[in-house]
Amino acid sequence: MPKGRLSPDRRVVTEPRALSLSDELTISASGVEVRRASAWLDLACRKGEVPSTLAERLALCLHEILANVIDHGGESARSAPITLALSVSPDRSGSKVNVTVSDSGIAFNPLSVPQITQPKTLEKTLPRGLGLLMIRRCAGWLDYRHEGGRNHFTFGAGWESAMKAPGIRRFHRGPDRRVANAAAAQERRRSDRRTAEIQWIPLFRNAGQRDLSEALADCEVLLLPAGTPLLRAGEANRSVFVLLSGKLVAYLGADGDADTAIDIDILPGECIGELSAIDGKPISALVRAESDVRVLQLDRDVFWSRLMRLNGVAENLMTTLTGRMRRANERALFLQRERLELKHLKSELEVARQLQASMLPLQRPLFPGRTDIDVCGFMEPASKIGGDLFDAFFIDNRTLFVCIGDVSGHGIAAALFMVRVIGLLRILAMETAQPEKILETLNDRLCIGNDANLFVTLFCGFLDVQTGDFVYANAGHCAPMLCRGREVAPLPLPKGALVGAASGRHYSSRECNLAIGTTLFCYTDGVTEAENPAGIPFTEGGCLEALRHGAESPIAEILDSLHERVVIHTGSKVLVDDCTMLALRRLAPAD
Amino acid sequence: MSISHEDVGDKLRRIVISGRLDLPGTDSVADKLAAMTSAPKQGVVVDLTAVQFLASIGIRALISCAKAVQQRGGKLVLVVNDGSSVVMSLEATGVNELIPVFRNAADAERAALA
Repeated sequence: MPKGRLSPDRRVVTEPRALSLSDELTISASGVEVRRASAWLDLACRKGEVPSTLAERLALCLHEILANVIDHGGESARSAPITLALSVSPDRSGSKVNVTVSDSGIAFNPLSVPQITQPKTLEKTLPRGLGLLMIRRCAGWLDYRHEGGRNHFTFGAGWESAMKAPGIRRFHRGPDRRVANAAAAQERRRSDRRTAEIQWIPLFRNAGQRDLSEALADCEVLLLPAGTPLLRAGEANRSVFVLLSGKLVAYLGADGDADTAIDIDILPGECIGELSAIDGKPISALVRAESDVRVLQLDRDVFWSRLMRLNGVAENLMTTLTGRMRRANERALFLQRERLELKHLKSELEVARQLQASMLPLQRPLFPGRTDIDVCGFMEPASKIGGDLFDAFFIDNRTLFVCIGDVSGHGIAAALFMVRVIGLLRILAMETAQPEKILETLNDRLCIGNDANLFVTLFCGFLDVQTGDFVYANAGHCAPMLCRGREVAPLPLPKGALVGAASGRHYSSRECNLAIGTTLFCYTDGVTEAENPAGIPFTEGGCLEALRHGAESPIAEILDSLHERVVIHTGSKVLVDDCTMLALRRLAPAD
Repeated sequence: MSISHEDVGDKLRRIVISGRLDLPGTDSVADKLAAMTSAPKQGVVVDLTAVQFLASIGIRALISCAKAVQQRGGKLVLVVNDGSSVVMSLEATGVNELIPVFRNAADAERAALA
C-alpha cells in the first residue's frame, strides 16, 4: 500500500474541486426518444462540469448504443424501458464520468464483435460497424455485462483537473492545528471543500459538514494500483475503508474451491472492512483493487467513537450493509443457478455418452447362435466424450462385415460425427461387397457439410465365414494384427487416406485367408498410445506381447487382459483416449 | 432538420443540410439526400457546417451517396466547421480519409470539379 510522505509545500496546495453527481432517465426504444436521451445527457454533462468535447464524444457513444438497441434489440427491447444512468465522481487526479445503458433486448456484447479495420477506399467501404467503431474511438473505457436478463453497457471517460492531486491527501491536517487565525480560516474553507468532495458518500448523508470534517481530521486517502489487495482473508483489521473511486471486488471463499467462490463488486461510496471492525474477528474475504482505486481509510476507533455518533451515520451504515447483503445474495443465487446448469449439462453429456456406447455391439457373445465364428468388441470410453467406433454384423448367412475407426478430436462434435459414420457404414455395407467402394462413398458423403473439419480413420472388410476369405480396405487406420498361435504380425494394408478430408479419393482392397483358429485383432490408437505417468506409450510392442501371451485363450479374455495391461501401464482407471478393440476368430466346426 | 440544394452551372451541385443527423434526423432527410445526389452532376458539395451532430447512420447515408456519385464518374466532397463535433464523428470512423473534407466552400467546390 503506497503511503507517500506529505510534501512540505502541501499547505499551499489547493484541492481541485471534484464534483459528484448522478442522474437517471428512462426512455422507450424508439428513434424520437433518442433525442430526449441526447438532451438529458447534454444537461447532465453540463451539471457535472464534463468538458464539452468529452460531452460530445459521450453523446455520440450514447446515440450509437441506443441506435444499436433499437435496430438489433428485437421485440424484447421494446417490451421494457431503457434506463440511462450517469455518474460523475472524483477520480485519482481529476474526475470521471460513467454512463450506463440498460436494456432488455437480445443479449449482445458489442465488445465481443471483432473490431472492423478502417476501410481504405470508398468502393470497399461497407456501411456496417461504423457505430461500434465510433463507440470504441470516442469512449475512454467500455464495459458490458448481461445480468438479470438485461444488457448493461457502460461507457465513460476521465479528465484531469487543472491541479494534480498528490499521492496521499489528508482531509484535514492533523499536526498543523496551531496555525495563525488567518491560516485557520483559510484552512476551514479548504476543508469545507474537501468535505464537499466526500458528501456524496451515502454513509455520510445528513451528517453535518463541520462535524464530519472534524471527525475525518486525520483520515488518509490511500491510492492502490490495480491488482493490489486491500484486505486479505484471515488477517486482523483495524480500519474501515470507504471506496472513493475505482473498482474493488470482494472474493468470498476465494482461498478454497473456485466453484464455490463468490465475487461481489464494491461500489464507490460503500464501506469495506466494517464487519471485521464490528466484531474484531479476522477479515472474511479477499478484497482486491481491480482498477486503480482511491479509498478513505478510517481508523476503527474513529469510526465507532466519532463517526457513528454523527447524525444519520449509523442508519446510513445499516442501509449500505443491507444493500450489499442483498447484492451478495443475488450474486450467490446467480452463481448457484449457473452451477446447476453446468451440472445439468454434465448429466446430459453422460446420457449422450451412454447413447453413443449403446450404438456399438458390445454384447458378449456377439453372435450367440453361431458356432463357426467368435467375435468380440471392447470399448472403454475416455474421461471425455470421444469418437471411437467399431461394428460387426452379418450381411447374409456367411458374410460378416467388420469395421473399426477413430474420429479425430473429442467432444460432442466428434461424437455426432461418429454417429454419422456408423449410420452410413451400416447402409453402405448392405449395398456393396467391395470395402474400397464403401470407403470411397463414405468419404464423398462425409466431405459434404463437414464444417467442423473432422476426419475418421477406418478399417473395414468382409469375411466369408465358410472359406475364411477376407477382403478389406483401409483409410489411415492402424494395421490390425493377425495371430496364428504364438505368431503375431501386422496385417499388410492397402494404401488409403483418412476419410472426410477431401472428396474424390480412391481406395483399394486386399485379400487374405483367415485359417481356422486364426485371430484378427483390430484396435484404435487409444490402446497403443496410452501413456504411463512418465509419458511412455503402451506401443504395438505391448499389444504383441499381450497377444502372444494369450494366444490360446478365448478372444473375450484376450481383450480383457489387454485392457488390464493398458490400465496397469497408465496407472489410472480413467483413460485419456478411448480404448477400443475388436477381435474375431474362426472356429472349427463342432461336428 | 432541413436540406436544400442549388446548382452552380451544369456541373456542380451544392447541398446544404442543417440540424442533427441522428436517428430521426437522418430518417427525415436520407431520401432527399439520395435523390439530390443522383442528379447527373460531376461535382457534389455537401455542406455540413450547420449540422450539430453526425451519427453513424448519417455517415452511412453520406457514404452511400458518395459511392453513387463516384460510380458515375463524379465526386462528392464535404464542407465542415473546424473543430466541430461533425469532424470528430468523421475522424472517429476514418471516413474523412474516404470522402474529401474541406474547411471552406471555395476549396470544396474546386476539389469537387477537379
